Amino acid sequence: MGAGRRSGRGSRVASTVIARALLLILALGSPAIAQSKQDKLPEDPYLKGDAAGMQAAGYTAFGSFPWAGEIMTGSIDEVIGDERIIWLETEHFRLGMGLEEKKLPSDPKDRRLIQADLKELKQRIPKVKTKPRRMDPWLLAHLYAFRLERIYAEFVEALAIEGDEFLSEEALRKGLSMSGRQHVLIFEKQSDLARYFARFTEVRRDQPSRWYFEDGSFLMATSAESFDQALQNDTALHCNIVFNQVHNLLDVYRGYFWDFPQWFENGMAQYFMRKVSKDWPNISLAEGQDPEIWKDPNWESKVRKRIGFEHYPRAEELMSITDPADMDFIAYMMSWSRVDFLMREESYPVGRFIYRMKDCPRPEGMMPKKLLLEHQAAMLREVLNMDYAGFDAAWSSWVKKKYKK
Amino acid sequence: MLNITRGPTSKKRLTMEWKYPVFKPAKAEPSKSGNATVDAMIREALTREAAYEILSEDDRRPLLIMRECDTCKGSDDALLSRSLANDTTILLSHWFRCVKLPLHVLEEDHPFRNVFNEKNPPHVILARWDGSDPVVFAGDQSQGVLWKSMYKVLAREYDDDPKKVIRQLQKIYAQYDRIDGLKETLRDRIEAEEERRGPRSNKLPKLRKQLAKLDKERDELIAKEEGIRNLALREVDPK
Repeated sequence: MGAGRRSGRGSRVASTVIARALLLILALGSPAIAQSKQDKLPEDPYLKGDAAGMQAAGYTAFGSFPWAGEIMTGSIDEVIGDERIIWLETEHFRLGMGLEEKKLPSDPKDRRLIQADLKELKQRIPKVKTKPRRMDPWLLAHLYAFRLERIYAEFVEALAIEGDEFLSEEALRKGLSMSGRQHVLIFEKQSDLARYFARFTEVRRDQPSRWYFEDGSFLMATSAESFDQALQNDTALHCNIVFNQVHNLLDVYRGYFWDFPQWFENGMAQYFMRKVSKDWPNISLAEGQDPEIWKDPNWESKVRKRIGFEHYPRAEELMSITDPADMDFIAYMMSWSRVDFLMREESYPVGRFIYRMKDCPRPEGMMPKKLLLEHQAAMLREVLNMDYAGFDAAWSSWVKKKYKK
Repeated sequence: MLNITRGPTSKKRLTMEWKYPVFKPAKAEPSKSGNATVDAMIREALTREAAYEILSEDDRRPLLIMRECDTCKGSDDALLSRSLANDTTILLSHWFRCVKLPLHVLEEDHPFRNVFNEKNPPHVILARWDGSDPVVFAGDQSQGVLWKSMYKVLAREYDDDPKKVIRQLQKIYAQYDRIDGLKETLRDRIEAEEERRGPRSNKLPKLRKQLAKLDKERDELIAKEEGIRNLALREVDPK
């Protein structure tokens, strides 16, 4: 499973659109929660549309609100159909939830994951049942809004990022308090995902995808029907969302001007995703790329065995891949393991590495690969105190201690 | 019923190639709302002719139009059987331009409303690219009835006989599954060997060579499939 690549960097025209959209949010969202008067949400059995309850649950808007650029959520309803999408806005996300009611999974592992999350959600929304038989659309909406904020919190905490550090320098200069929320669309039907892209972007896509709008907004869109209905499984869908959100968070952090080398973006995304489950690996695909089929989720063992034979791509080779089309299964697995090492060993300030990577000089137009890789090598030395050979030695030694064969 | 589990090559190629047309309307004058402007859409039903032009674009293949509905448990239930193999339906569909229209297309002001001018709007329509000569289905048609109509439309629209081609394609797909099965076994053996004896195991070169041979055989079959699928459309009368 994966997501398509996004378009390139947006234009400068976008900044005025951001300002207009933010004015609307600020005017409606402070201090009362924002709700459009003309909209009629389906009845939410958990919060009943009560503004105080919604605010206590962490929502800043619901119903109709600006989506991205000049698009309102109502415009999307026109294309998808009225009252098929629940719209919620939290501190860091705008969510369009279109999932239909789901039965709880029969697999006990999957059930436990959901029930653990519902238990946490209940602390914000007391009417939530922790062991429901079915998950109705509103419960799914609240659950995924909660999970999205958790992804953000875990990302920021794990990398020791201060909130303001997320802003691009352009946003800082303008004195904006938030450069833009992440946008997430979770459709039931693949056809709805396809129609969204056809109407609101320049591309035709019907697979889970990440997208960058010219106003600086980031989007991920997915559907339960994708990958031959694989994402009907809640754990699979949860993994798909974590994987793609980490990609987007890395890109939005301090402004999106280029993509990280593939080992780092995918390694980070796999690292956070595997905390949810190891059973649903995700990959990033270039347009038209064919994924291999991966079966064995026990990557620790596979990496350990290869290290034993010194049979792995060396850091200089792995870290030079910038095109997802050049990543194979081994590269994905090794990338995850490299990041696993860096994140679990406290002596490596990965957050600082990301911060300094984003200081890479920005030429006009596309980022030359050579410049990006030279900067990466410099930051590897400056922040992580390693060169490529040193990275290979430290990582492989760690794998031999930590991973079982 | 013979239950065939398809390999990855077949699965990838045996999919409905749906198009999801949307209408991008002209923008209204921005209307003021509070402190901001909002994007306001003009929405109105297009004429039948204009709607079909958008559905077809430049494609002159016959159309297979499916209207989604809330009561269908799966997305393609109006077309595909949940209990029978759908390979023939899907193979036949590749000679159609397959268009899926949304749940709310029957709203009076939906741009594509006039695609359906019947008193009881059907779920599935087979038609010429411009909507003429439609054959309609309620969505509960048997597989046999559907195939009969699909073959009839294809015989009208194409110079070549699709029935003969379908038989050849089914044989090719059986070959894909055989190859994919062998490839999976070889890949598992290669992976196990690399992890057990390392990259210098003397078994690996032979296994990799066998895998490369299968890849080549599969690629040749794909080229053959694409060749025989390429039926010639009859000359279209400009209207």
